[in-house]
Amino acid sequence: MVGNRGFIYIVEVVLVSVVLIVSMGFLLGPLDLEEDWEYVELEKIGESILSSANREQKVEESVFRKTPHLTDRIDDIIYSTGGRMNLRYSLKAENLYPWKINVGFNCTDGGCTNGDPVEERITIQQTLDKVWMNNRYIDLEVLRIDLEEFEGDGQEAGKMDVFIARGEEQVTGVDENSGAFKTFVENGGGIVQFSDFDTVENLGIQESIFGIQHAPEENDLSSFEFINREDPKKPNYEPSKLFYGVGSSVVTEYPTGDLTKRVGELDLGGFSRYDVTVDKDKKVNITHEGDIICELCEEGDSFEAAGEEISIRKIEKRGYGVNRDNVIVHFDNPRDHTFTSFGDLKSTAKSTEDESLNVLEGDDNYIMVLNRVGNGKAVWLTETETGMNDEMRNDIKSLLRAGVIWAGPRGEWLKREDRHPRSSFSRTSHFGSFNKDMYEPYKIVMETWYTY
Amino acid sequence: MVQILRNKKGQFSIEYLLAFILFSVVILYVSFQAANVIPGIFAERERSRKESMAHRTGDFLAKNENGLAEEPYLWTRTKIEDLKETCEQDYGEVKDTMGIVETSGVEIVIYNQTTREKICDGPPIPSGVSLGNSVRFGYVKENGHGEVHRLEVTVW
Repeated sequence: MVGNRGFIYIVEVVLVSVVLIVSMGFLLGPLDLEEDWEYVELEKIGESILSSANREQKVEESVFRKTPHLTDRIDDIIYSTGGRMNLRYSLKAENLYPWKINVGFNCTDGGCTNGDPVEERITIQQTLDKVWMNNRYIDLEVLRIDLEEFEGDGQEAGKMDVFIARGEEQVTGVDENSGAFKTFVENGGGIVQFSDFDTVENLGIQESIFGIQHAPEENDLSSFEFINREDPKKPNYEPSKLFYGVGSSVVTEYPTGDLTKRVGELDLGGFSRYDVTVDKDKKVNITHEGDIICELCEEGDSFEAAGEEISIRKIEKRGYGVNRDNVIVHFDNPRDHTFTSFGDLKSTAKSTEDESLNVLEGDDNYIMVLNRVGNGKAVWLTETETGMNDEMRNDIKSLLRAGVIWAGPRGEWLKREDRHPRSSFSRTSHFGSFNKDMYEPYKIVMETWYTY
Repeated sequence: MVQILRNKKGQFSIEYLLAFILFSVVILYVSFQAANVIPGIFAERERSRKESMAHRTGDFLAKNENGLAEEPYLWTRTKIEDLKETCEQDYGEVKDTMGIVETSGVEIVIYNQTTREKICDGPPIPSGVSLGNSVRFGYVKENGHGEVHRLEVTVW
């Protein structure tokens, strides 16, 4: 052993070699700065594109009117100014109410209008209709869901955003598939139950999905208890905004035996009911107790009613099935409506000094409660009268619409392009809000990356 | 035994030779790798420095009142013309204002949908040098009208 002093062994050399080779990668790796600059540059380019687009025409005008679409304007900026750029982008509007909400339903025999699923679809479609809000339509498109194929997260679930169950038979259908519906809602879907509560109170879904902990004692609504109920007293309570943001429209139709005009009624609460007549030329006449207060009016014209200045926002011929000749007149909301709370138990939609719109509380009225379940939302609406017919009051139609829109998804992809998962990318945000009918804040998120 | 050991004086063992050769090979490999990488690192550092200057210049022009902007990304034709004139008269002063080092140069070009307008350039860009590029978009106001333009800054 003495003779081996000062010698190096092969194993030591191998170790030193490995250390040398491995350490080279560690020493030189951090010196690659290329991606850092790319990230900064992409972020600044995104910022300058959104700012320039906003200077040219307010971004919200493009987002809400969709003409010209914001992506067309951004394409113009990037690809037509100074030749082609190897830049790609995706664009998403976050928090906005989407332009289209797919509403699923299912009924069999007795649960359908006239025992016919096709008629039921038309009935629900006419009730929900499409909603004019903040300069664009929100389409509520109704489609039938096959519950035998529905598993809560599969292909059938992917067809819809919100499921609506009207009446005892349809709500029972949900209960029979409660596991799938629980999965659907927990994954971010929405569900709306609209039924006389007495007929469905013993179903398990009342607790597992709609969050009812205690059903009411007879005629004692104060014994209701909900888990995770949305607090109606919080500022900017969404259903309140939606209720008043989408509620002012009147459906006019031919009275029996008369094809010269279409008639409807504008209900401003209390005794403030106005007859709305639309003639063949789509001119609108509005009368109150025999007095004409708006004659041959058109879109944009205004009149005074119930002490308020009200204007006609839009007149359009639209309907489905037998009602395809209906004309809908949209009015601007005349009043400063607010939701107030009736104590700790129930929320109420109450217009200023207008008791007739106490729509969410009272022994004879209906109640709406909103719950968050996992990532999804459940709306519970009860009324003894669940028929979606001509007599159905405007306010409950509006509540139902507000419930469906609230339970629906938020955000919309304006442009979705795939990028390589390993490519360097940057995100730029633009915050804004729109407040034509109701306050609607949003965030435009632009993701940019280079292609090589 | 002592005699045998004495006879091995001045001889290398096989182990030693193998270790020596292996170590030499590794040292040579590491040296060649370093020789390949180090110029790249210098080039990268140089490019990064120029990217940083181009980025800083682009941001200054696009957002600063002393550049082209009245407000961030809102440019005026008057300021574009001013910069063009200053650059024609004193390219060095423009470089100084932008913080471009003496050994580097800058080229500033503005595009709209139909035209390409060189706002500032000095001597031609030498071949083989690394470049830093920066792009910004801005809205140019002119006689009550406006149009989105693209600003391209190249530092060499």
